[in-house]
Amino acid sequence: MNTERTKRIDAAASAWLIRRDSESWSSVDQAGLEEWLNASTLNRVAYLRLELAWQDAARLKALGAGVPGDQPPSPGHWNLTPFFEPQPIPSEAVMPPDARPVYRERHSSKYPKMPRGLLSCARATNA
Amino acid sequence: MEEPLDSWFKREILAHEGILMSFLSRVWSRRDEVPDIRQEAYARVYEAAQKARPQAPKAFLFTTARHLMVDRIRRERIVSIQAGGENDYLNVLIDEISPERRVSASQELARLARAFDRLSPNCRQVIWLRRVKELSQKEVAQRMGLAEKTIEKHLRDGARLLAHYMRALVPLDRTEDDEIEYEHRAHQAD
Repeated sequence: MNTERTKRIDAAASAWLIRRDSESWSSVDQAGLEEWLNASTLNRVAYLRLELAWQDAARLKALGAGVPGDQPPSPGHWNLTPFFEPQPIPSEAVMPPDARPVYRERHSSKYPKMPRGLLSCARATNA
Repeated sequence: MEEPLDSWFKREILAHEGILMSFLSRVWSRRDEVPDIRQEAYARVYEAAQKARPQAPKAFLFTTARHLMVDRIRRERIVSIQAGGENDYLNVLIDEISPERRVSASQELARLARAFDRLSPNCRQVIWLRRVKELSQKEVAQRMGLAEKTIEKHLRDGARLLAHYMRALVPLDRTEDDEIEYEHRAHQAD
């Protein structure tokens, strides 16, 4: 019914979010953002939702401590152990190269439908 | 002094998105409409909270979503609720379908890592350099040898996908998964 509108707002919200995060953000831009947010509560809640995800993404820093270079750890090869207190893991094998963390098993083939048009970042997890 | 509405909204309302999505997906058969219902419910809750913040935010969110679905059914005079009358499903007590679960900080981090792992390699690296290594967009573009426009596109898509993956871990049927893979391959072929 309003599916297209929802996608359009989501795309606009992400564009504002990333622009605001860039170096070239100005007071004119800020006024434009506020105008857009005030134009509709649907705009505002879409923006807040993405902003929350974006703030959460910065928490990857907690997992990135000590990871050298430009590359993030390979998928599944996170050192989550400092965050899971009860089970100590043998020190020589914190994460063997072929280890499949438990969570990847739950994380099987079925996920909700992705809005079309933003799939350049989507990764096929279970080809 | 009262907490700003936006941060209250994130913590008390948006934090329930995972359980809200699983509720909506269970009772609303037209899946492509689920995000619309979610966003409309958010907007109504936000507007109500501008006047007075609800005492039980989570229950208020679910009640609002339920009203929206009932409105849609009445307006369209269609049966889009899975077998059983609308009331059987929509009147289920919210606390029965969504027992309160305290998510620990470590579980939150694991969920974030899972969501991040589902991004494409380039998108992952862009988000990593920008959010973890705190490079500017320009620096990320130089490091990766990509145009700044491309970096921006990865950031936009990454924000949307992370929001989606972190909260919407609901099983779906195979065809939709195929669609995602198809589009992903089409993009890689560019």
